[in-house]
Amino acid sequence: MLQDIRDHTQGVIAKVIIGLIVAVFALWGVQSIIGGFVTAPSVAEVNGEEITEQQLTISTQNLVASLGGNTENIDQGLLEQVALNQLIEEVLLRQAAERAGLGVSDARIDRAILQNPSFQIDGRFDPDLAVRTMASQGMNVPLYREQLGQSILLSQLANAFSATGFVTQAELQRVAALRLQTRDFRFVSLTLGSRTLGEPIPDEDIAEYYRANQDEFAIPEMIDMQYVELSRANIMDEIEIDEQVIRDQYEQERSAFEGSAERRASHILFEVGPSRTEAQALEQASAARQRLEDGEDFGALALELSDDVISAEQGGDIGYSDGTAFPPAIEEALETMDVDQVSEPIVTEFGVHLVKLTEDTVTEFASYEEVSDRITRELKAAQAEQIYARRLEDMSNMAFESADLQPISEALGLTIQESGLFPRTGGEGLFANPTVVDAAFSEEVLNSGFNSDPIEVNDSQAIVMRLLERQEASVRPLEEVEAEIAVILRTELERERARELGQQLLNQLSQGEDITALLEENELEWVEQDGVTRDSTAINREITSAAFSLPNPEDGDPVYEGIALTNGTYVVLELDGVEMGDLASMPEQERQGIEQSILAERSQTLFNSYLNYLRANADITTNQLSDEPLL
Amino acid sequence: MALHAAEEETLEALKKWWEDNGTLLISLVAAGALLWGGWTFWQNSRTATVSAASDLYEEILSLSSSNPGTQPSEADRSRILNVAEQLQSEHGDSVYALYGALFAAQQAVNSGQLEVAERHLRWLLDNAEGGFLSKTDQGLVLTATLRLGRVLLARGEPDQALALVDSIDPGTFEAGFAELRGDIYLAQGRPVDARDAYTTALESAGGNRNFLQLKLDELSDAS
Repeated sequence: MLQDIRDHTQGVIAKVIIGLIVAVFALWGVQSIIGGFVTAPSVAEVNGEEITEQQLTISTQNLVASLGGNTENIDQGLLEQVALNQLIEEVLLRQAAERAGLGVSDARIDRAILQNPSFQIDGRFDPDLAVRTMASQGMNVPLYREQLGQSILLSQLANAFSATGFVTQAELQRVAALRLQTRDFRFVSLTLGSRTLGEPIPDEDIAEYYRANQDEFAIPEMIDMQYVELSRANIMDEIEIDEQVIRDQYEQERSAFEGSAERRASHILFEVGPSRTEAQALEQASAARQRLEDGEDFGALALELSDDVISAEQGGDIGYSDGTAFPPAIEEALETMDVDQVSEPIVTEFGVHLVKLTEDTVTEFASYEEVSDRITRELKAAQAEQIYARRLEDMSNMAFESADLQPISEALGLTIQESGLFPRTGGEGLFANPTVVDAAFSEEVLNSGFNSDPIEVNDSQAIVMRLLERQEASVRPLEEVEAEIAVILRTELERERARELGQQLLNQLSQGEDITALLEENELEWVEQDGVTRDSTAINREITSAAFSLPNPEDGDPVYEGIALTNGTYVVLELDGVEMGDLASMPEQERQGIEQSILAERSQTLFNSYLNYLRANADITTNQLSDEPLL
Repeated sequence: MALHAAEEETLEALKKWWEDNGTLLISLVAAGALLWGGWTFWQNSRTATVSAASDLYEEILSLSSSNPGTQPSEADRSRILNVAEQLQSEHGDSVYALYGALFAAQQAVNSGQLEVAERHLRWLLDNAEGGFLSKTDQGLVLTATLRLGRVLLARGEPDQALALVDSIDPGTFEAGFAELRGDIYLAQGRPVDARDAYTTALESAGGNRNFLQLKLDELSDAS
């Protein structure tokens, strides 16, 4: 194409085109043209600024790290969504900072770097450490400065909103008044019990209740299943493994284990060559061995005598071998040696060696008795797996072909068992498993009465079942539930009586009458509570909470209220006084704590409002993430 | 040579063109150079100004957060107020002066100088239009309005506070404004309105709102 263009450069249009290409390269470089075609996939766009999938991946990883890595139970899609939200907010804030014309001076960035504790050694800034630390985060100095500058900008903006809140004295006083408020009250508890004793519950009422509440006495549809269970554990019990097979396996494992052993050795080499015959070398080696036996140090001797100068510097050490690294003659000798023992002179292609075994990681392989159980188990499991797979297939064929479970039971030696009655919500054991229950209530099994397909409860258990008995949904007969209903109605009646008595007491109280006689008659008494705080746990929470929800008594007239507790007890409550809390009586530390909590609450709300404001005024689009929809 | 003659001709044409347009071309280039120089100079001086304001603001930040959880010392507090004043007088068109005013108002309230706090917040609202090339941050305006409302209420001017709150559209700042409304109504002796306002605030606020709930509970039976 270029040739084409050059051939026709006379044409004005061609000149213009070339001019444009030159201009584009000159102004924006090659990147502009290539970059135009290769774009990283973006997951979101905020006011035209893209967030790439790579950024999201990194941000998600950081999020996981900040959660302590325990995120197995958290939905991956949710994590990504949270991470993307954070990224979007970060971009929004950065754009807001740019719009506001914020800037950071170089001196400020310098100071931040100098004061960063991770760039300091013994409290002093260390330039090398700083550069290394930055590099370990995948950054060079200019990039680090740029990112640092940006994070300073963000915190300048964020602090303007979230660190400038205040709580006025009046507010603090009011919160203190509410928080520290105490109330004086007393109450009478009318517990359920014996007020209706001897009063009969009429049969008509019971019958009426039975008619009106059929749901309560409904028995759901139940089924009883016959089934055969194929289980790998049972198959394992059947299998006998020949002792010889176990021994063979043991030997195999043992030799594999020993092959993997590692030994470390040192040597002194007497090279054989023009200046020394093998016989001379052997002689010198024996002499050296004698000196070792006389107590001289192997390392020192290596340094003095060994022709392998490099190893001699290390006391003769020639490193580790897995049984193949050293010449075979040496390996062979090492196998029978103990640690720190020195070999007889050994002849190899290199010359004559004296070898010392310095480390031996070979530990004794476990004895046959110790491991035979494990080996037996493994061999059985391997066989059982095959048998299980074969029988599962047989079971599948037979389940389909036969009219009941008998053939399967006979062919595979499985006893036919019974589930016992269970409803659609599931039964016990195997029949608590939803897959099994669904299959049991399926069309073919429930209505057509066929054998089910084999249902694999897990990878080592499968069952085939068929319907044995089906009980339609029904309602328990009245005779059976009469007693239950009587108890329900009795409780109801007791509640009613307690409430009536409570109302009577409240009536008399509000008319300013003396209730002492009525209390005595019913063996009741006031429980006095003074100075109860809002979060007191000394008495029933329901009572405290009711006492704090009553309006303040005016002119010393008590406020009365009747409440039915969840346990049925009826409570007559008299609120006598409210003592407002006082900021002055609050300990300084508590006052500061409350102020900080209010501030934190308020700053959080304000900053959220600001983020939402930025969001509402931004153009944000999110693209679908790989597979899962993101938003 | 024919070619030579043609070259002569071209040279002549060029000379003539230069005589006609030379001056214009030179003045265009000169003007361009001037513009570019001016722009660079302006940019540099702007960067320097922003950096100076930024450094002053950073000083406020570090003074006010030197001891998290406690109030700054008396000396630090007056330094914050001074730096905020300096920002307003020397960098009045910078957003840092606005941010500084928020910190100044905070310190003033915490030291009981409500009228000083009011002055700073009003200055912020009067100057929020922003300098050249920076847009007004409506979120900042709403934040300052909310704080001014609180200060007015604390000064015993609930009617003024209400008028201020009524004069703006709270937008996404509904939670904060509704709570303030509640406080104002209560100060005006209108517990039912206060309860409704707190309810609105609670509905629009996400997160932890224990203290708001406490205020609301107190008015549960207001009528």
